[in-house]
Amino acid sequence: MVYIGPTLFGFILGFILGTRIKSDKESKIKFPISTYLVVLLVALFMAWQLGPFPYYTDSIIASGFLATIIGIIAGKVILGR
Amino acid sequence: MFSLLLQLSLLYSTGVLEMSEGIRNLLATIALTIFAATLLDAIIGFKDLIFPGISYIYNYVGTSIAPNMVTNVIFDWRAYDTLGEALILVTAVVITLLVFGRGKVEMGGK
Amino acid sequence: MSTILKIFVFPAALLIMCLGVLIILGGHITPGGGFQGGAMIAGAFIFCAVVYGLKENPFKFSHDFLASMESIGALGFLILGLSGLFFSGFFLYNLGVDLNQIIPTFIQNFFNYSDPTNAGIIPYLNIVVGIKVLVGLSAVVIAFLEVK
Repeated sequence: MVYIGPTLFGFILGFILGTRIKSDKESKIKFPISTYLVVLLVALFMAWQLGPFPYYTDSIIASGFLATIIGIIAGKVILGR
Repeated sequence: MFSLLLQLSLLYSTGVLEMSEGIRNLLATIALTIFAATLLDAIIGFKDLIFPGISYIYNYVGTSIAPNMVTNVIFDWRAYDTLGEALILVTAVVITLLVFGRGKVEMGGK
Repeated sequence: MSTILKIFVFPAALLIMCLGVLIILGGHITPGGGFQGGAMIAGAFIFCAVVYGLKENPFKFSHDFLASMESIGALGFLILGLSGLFFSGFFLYNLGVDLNQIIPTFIQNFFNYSDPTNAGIIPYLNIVVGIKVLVGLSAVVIAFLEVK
């Protein structure tokens, strides 16, 4: 994750999408924090299997993918409704 | 220029003055022929002006801009057409929401 | 909708959204780009909206969000074009890659996407178009789902 281009813009796009996740108190569908941890682990495995883009030489994971999922969780925690 | 003035006068006359049916049809026919002649005259000698295909210079220098030549042509060589396509998407969404959104948003007024 | 769908859809929609952002960001290297990635993110949102219904959807796109994101998308494209007109003489000039060599080096380094490839403003245009497409398609589906 040395190049700041894909990491920064992946985080910004994930943050925009994460602020729209709302948690409703009295509905029957509840998603606690543990689901987001499981999704994070699965996303880490997926990023390792996808590999970087063809001309990038910095890391062995897809850095845009990981930055997006971190941005979604950060958006939900910080500005979630 | 003359055909434009004729068409503008036709539009104005349909709203304000009272013209009979025959004169309005005659004026419309004359305006249409002048406009068609102007357009045909603009593209008569067009074959000698255009250079077929993508420019040879851009083919040579394009792979040093970005590896994907299709994205190069869409967003760099012909970026103005992509602006037009984005505006088409805006127009389609606005018109769909206008037709199917009656009574959903309060606009004020009575 | 059955219980298995309701358990499965929300994590799957999160992963599909991340994949859509990956396709937007790699628009100048791999096939894809702004329009295709935006359609994928909209597809994930529509998946959630169809399974859960509009009232209990975890993703809630309000009317103000849709309007402001659409405006940001269209205005971002135009502002990039006008800055190309302002710094050089051409509209939508690629300020990161200077093919005619007419602008100073400071501005070229500012608008270049930091990347091993020398792509200029093409990834920024992809991101802006992606935001616009995802909001546009989601707005149409929300309008159709609200009709009784």
